Amino acid sequence: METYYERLGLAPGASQLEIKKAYFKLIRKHSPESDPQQFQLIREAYEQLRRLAEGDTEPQFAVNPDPAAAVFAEQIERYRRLGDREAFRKTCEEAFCLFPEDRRFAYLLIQALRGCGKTGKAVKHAEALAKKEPENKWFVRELAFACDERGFSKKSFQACARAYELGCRDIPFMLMYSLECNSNKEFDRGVGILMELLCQKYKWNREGISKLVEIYVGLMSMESHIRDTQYQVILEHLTADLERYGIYLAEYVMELATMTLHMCSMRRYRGEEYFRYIQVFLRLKEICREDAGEEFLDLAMAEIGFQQISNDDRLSEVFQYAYETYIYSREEDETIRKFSVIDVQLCMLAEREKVVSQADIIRREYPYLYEKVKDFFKRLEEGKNLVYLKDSLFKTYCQMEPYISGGYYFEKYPEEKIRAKGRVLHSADSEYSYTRSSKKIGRNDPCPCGSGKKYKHCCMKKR
Amino acid sequence: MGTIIGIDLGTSTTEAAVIKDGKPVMVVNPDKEIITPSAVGLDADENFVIGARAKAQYLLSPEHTAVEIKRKMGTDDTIRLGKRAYTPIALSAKLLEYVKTYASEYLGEEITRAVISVPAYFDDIQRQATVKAGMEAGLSVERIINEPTAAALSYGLLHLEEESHILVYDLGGGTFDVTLLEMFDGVLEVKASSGDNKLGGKDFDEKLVEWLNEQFMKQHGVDLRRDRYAMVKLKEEAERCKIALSTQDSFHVLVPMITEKKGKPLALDVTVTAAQFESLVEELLARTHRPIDVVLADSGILPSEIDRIILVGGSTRMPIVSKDIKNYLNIEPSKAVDPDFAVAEGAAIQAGIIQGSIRQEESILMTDVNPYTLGIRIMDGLTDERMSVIIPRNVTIPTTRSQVYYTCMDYQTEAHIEIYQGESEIVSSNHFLGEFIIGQIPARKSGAERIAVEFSYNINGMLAVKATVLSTGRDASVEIDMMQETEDSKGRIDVTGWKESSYAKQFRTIIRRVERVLKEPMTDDLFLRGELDDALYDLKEALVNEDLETAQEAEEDLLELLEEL
Repeated sequence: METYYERLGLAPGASQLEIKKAYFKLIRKHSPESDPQQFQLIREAYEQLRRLAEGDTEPQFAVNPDPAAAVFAEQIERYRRLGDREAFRKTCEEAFCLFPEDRRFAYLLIQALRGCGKTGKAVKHAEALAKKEPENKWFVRELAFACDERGFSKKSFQACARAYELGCRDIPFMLMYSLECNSNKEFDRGVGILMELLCQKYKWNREGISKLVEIYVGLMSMESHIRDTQYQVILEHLTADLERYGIYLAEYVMELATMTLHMCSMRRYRGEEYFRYIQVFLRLKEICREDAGEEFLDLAMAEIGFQQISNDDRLSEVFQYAYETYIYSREEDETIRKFSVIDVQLCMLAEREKVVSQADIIRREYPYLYEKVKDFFKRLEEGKNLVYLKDSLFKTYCQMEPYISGGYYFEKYPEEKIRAKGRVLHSADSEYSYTRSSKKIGRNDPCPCGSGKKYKHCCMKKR
Repeated sequence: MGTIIGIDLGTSTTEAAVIKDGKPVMVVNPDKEIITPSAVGLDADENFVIGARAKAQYLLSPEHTAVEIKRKMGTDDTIRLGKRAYTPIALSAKLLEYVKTYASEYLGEEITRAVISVPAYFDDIQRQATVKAGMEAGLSVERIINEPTAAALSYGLLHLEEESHILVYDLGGGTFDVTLLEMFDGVLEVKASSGDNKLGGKDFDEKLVEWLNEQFMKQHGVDLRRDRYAMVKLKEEAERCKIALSTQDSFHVLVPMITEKKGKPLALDVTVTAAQFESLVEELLARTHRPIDVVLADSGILPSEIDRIILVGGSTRMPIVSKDIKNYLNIEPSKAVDPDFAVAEGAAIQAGIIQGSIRQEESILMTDVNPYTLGIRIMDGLTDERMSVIIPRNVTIPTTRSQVYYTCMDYQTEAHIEIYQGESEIVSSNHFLGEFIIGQIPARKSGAERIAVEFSYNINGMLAVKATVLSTGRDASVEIDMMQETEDSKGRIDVTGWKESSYAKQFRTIIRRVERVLKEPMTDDLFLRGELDDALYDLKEALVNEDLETAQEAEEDLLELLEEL
């Protein structure tokens, strides 16, 4: 049978440039206009050889001198190209019966069996073949695949390791190997393999891009299990690939975002490290084309921000509540939102000094949060009428609390709760009696808001 | 064999070129112009006027003039000129006939053969319509060439030595095309094509017209859309404004008497800035991005690997277009070819290749792709509407691909092979091309018999489909000529003349009634609509043929269908 190289008039293993040159030279002689038949054959050879260069490699076998073997080989190849799995398998079985010592047929038979889902038989044949030639990387690789498909995780892992030693580096193999590492809890090795794949300068095309996504998914899910974090390298690669393959990766924004978020939440970082994650999300948002995707990315970024602020040891817990209330919460009920804001403000009031001293960190590192609370910060800093402010907030809080409950303020300061509700004497009584929490203001007393007017002319009316 | 001319039959302008001494030369029309406006009209004596004269009379009598005919190619719409309605094919034929006449005169020989360019993203119905128009004009259409490919040819002929990836960005009057090509060793290889055949310069005008009308309504409270003459003036003015904004920052639109209100003349007086225009057409420009992504993805070429962007089509003269491309791909587009002439020149080069005046062995050679996916209908899980792809889009043609299918029913002895073209996974959303039956399949359990289906697509747009029962070797096949009419539209003739029939009176009421029903959007049942449309056609055809019996049968059909609604 004529090989693709021969069809282009080339020696086996010719370089990509030689292949390209030969193709363009030949189609001049056999143009689509003048010789469409020959053109198609040349085109086929050209496309196949280019695909081979992209990693779809195949083993070379010695030519069997028996003419019957040649006929079989040709027929098998035809069925395989046609995608007729059953015929492919049957022909391989027959050929293997007739030529049990021909490695080519044994090898093809394993592939055919795998294609038809007959994994048990495939494993048997692969084991036999690998035993005969334990140094042949193709045979060991086939054994690894067969075991993997059969579900023999340990066996497959061993075969993978062996095939890797023998020099197998193609993408499908590496991906499978990393999966086996994962199931065998060999995370360091798994990450190492995927990193190796990532560092090789492949050029990904649209068909292959899902493989690239698989690499990232694998890396990000295993990253948390390895000793020394590799998040930085992974994110750097991801950023570069998003830049380069944005058009292709647009379809996979959700997968990548989910995994990035997963990787982020598995470890504790310092502040600026979260920023790297945010950068990746912003880049993902740029290439994203769907509204649902963008919404998800916003949520994911809010989540990362929340993790950052929760893990920030310099800050009081209050800021976690603030972040939750102002940024993270998707609460739609107006009353509940109002309640949360009051809740947070009361908490901040209670820790006024801390809050004021940490305000600068918020302004510098959490600008989006600062934007929301800066007015309140100002009041805290100025320190005017804080008592009144607290009272009015507290009053509203007490009114709303029984209906909503779950406020941080009462949780954190149980004494305030007691002050508001009084000691519960009759625990069976779900009603509570309202106890005035502050001194009663007389109608003619000066107004506590500090306006200097009498109370009845000022805040009492507004009530 | 006579000279073959290359024709760029555009939405707003038409040009022709021929090869002389191995180089393309533009053909000049009787007005001493290269560019002929794509307008057809009827003058006061009911004679056809074409080109500049038709365009000129469009302002005065829009009801006797047709423009933008290309936008209707491949549809069932008709265009009314005076008393009669014409098909888009008939009017395009008038234009081509005009080109044929002046080219024959200019070249001093009778021209009978032509290569006509169409947008790469034209589907086969639109291509067939173009071929038909050529034939009606007395031209034998030797090849339909894709416009971006033509533009690339005209570039390539002058840059034979170059090795590069070229993106042709073709924004014409009514269509948008993107094609990615590779030039290597004098061969132009088209890698992928995509586009939007409903996006062009006219849409930019349209946006401006809408906006100007809004401004006018704010000022005077009069809606110009009700006034046909005002609309024609407004369109004209919008186009002028668009062109002016390509070179200046603002344009003063002033029409002293555009319409009147209670006998008082009203003036349109608005200043449009380039920035305003830009924000108006932002959304149109965004629509060009998707096709760019498709060609990049299908060809496996990254933006960073593009060496050159060639702009074709008058609309690329707008600076915002170049700016948008630069923003999107980060590459400065080049002005290597004349955006108005490149396509006609390329068509002429293709013509030269066909007639042998350009020798392929030493000059330029090109390969093209099929822009649409081809496949057959299969059963898959719960649905029998799945499209199984046999030739994916953007594969180099000619090509032969095959796929094996299994029988899906026990003791099934025949299989219907239905062939479709289109990008949806559901066949009913795609375009049906043809069907045939393969019989005498041995009656066995489902899945026991295999059928290989082979598609061969050749460079002339001919698709041959062959199905073979693998166990017996029995086969059946069909050939679909994408350049000719397909089955579902075969045999439809022009029936607009049914009113002249001697039986017309008898059937007028029912025809009107059905036409009214068809116009209303309330009939959601698409199937019923189709049936109704077919029956209506049958009736009209019978009338044109003066066949009373068939007409009566068709009338009964129609009445039954109307009952069902």
